[in-house]
Amino acid sequence: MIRPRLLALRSSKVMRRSNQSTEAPHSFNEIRQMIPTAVKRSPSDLLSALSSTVGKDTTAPHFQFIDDPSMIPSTLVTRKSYYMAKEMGKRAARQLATEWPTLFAFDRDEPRLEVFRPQGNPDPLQMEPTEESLVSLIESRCVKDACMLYERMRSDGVDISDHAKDSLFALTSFYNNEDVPLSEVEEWHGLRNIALIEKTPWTTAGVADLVYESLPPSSLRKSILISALCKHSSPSSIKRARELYEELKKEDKSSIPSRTYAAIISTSTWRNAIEILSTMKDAGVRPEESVWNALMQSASKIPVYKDRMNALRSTMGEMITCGEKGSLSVFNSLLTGLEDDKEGDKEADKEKKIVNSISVLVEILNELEKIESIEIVTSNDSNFFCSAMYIARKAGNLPLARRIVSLYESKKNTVKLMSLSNEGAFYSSFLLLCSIQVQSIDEFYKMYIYHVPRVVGVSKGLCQTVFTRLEATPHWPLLHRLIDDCISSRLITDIYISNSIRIALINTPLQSLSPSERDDYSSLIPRLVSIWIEFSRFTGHMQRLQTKLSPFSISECSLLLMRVGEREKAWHLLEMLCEEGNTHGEDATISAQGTVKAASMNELLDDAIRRGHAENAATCIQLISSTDVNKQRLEQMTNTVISRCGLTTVQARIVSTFVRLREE
Amino acid sequence: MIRSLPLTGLLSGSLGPSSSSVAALSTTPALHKNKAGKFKTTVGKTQLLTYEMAQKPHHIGVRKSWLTWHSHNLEGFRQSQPLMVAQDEIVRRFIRGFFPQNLVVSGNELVLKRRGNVLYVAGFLQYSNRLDIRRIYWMFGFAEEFLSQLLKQPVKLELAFVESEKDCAYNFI
Repeated sequence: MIRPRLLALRSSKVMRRSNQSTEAPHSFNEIRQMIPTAVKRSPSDLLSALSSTVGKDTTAPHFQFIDDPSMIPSTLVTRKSYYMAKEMGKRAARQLATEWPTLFAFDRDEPRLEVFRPQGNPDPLQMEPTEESLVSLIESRCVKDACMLYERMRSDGVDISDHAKDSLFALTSFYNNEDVPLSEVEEWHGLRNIALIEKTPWTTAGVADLVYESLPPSSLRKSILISALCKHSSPSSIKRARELYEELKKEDKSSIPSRTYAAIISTSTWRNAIEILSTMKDAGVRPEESVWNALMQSASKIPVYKDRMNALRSTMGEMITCGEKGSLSVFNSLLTGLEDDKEGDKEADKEKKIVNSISVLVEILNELEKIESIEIVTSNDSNFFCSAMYIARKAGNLPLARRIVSLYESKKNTVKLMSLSNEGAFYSSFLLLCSIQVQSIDEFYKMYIYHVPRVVGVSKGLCQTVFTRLEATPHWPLLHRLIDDCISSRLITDIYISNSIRIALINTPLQSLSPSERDDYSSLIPRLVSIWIEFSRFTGHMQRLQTKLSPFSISECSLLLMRVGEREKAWHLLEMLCEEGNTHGEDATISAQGTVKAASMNELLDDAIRRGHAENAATCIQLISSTDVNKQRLEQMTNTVISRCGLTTVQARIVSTFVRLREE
Repeated sequence: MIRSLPLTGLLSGSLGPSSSSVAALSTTPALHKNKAGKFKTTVGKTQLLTYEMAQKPHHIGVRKSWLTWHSHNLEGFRQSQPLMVAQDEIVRRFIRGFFPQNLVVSGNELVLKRRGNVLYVAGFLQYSNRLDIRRIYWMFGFAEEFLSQLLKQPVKLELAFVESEKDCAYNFI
């Protein structure tokens, strides 16, 4: 009998614990075991729960950089430089492994990974002069080596099939008998993204021409040559391309591929482009993406704005009629074509042009927002976002800029900007616009720390804009962060930036800061002053790094030091101005030109008088007298010093005589 | 320090190489004390100890962890245990030799972690006298690629920097 009772008691406790709202049982017979119903979970629920505990560190640097505060690049230049340095180190190691494969012969990997066994390119002068060797060089895109081997085979009288010759002709004409440019290197991302795209004029009588002459003429070969001549354009190559085009047109219009038409259009004027387009229509050739791009480029060359706009509009209209939606590169050409910055334009005209650009951009955005996914079509597609942001910034249109950013960051967009070049410019424009347009300084602060220096490099222009914003609305966390960024990007030694920093610090309302913020303020100022002093001391062989202090900056630094209670340092710094050796000679650390800041000196003098420190007060008077030639005012100051600082008669006479002898 | 050298051995050693065949019997009592992996205190407490050094060998797995992480020590996975040891030594020696100016505690505390096919080298380095960040990046790129080519697997460096060795100090004894 005892057992059921105990069970009942236990179960009633369980009930009370599990559900407080459940009414207490009146008798033991009413007690029921309450087993909660199982929560239905999918097989991936646990994984989702786990993944929700980790997230993306939005402030982390690019994955290629060393995650260490002093190693993270702050500016665009250092970002490129560090990235390239790392890549060059990798290339050096790869070169060693290529040249000395026996030293890297640790063969335990299963499966065998060829990527860790780099092979050097075979020497075309040592290779067997066979068609197989030539084809292997063509397949590995070794253009110059293929050309050399072809020359060898030709001189040796080795027969080469037309198929191999066709492949060689296509390769050499596409690359103008040169090796694959750095901008197309697949393996080294830094080189590919940072390398400049150089346009070389067509090499006449090169291997491409020789191979073309050795092959029987065909429409395909002619088309390839036309495209190559237009790609590597020079006046003579364009002329030859036109002649070939005319020949081809007479033979068979319909056999000309769309890309060849595009190549010819890209080197033509608008009028000729229209003619070529009508030829395409007659031949029944449907225009490809490249044709629309070429038409846009051709239309963009029209010098008169009105005509250009009409040409661009008609091209867009034609494109829509043909049922094409258009790629981002076409939209980019359209936007850049609408850009027109002529100095002689009236304000009203400029405004009208911006309105036109904005209306076109809004229409494009409306279309892009509707489609399911934005796919990459050409390598220039990402430039659209930069052009769009440029227009939004020019117009000062923040909502539009936000729309562009949200479209760019949306999941449906697969077109991404290059992280070391274009992306920085895109977000920099956005941030600069935000610095002016965003009302709340707190919101702007969040945006700043999100973007800088992770995506946007610290630059002089950005710093100046943010300092201007801070002048209107002081915000200590933003100022602190900005100064830290200036230090890490070495902008701290820039005359204008250092001046802005000092002004911002002087204007910071200390009363509004919290105790911890005041501590930060107090520790930051001696740090900044010591940086400026250190850079001023780079004399002799280190002179190229030197940034001399100026009397103006010294007076401001002294004032700041005095405000944070570092009086000894402040007066010591000020006394440096009075010593001749600091301003003249090879080891000079202070610029001899310029004067002290009157407002700062007055505040310093007041402090010296308040503390009754005659020596410091005399230093102030000496320095003020170099700028303020008003003898009456100087005499007033001297009288205050004499009365408040307890000067002896001799001391008072020295000070008074010093002021009296000053030339007005 | 010689603690239990046999007396007869010393005597026989002085007689020349021909006497090496003489049987020696130690008369010194054995010192039954575990000294390995423990650091001696100094007079001025100048001996820097990192956390790794401060914890004694019997604390491995309790207060401190291993300096190499892989699955080849596990029962049933012992496929190439000696290979891991050899690889570890190659990597450690390479890093010590390649970053001689930046080593902290002689590069003894590099942690090698194997995750998937990737070998991660973690640890601390210090800034050298002349801090050239580009040079550091070049060296990181070179070291990663060189070791990758050598070991035929991706190698990544996860080395953080400290201003000086003292920043790694846990205790001074």
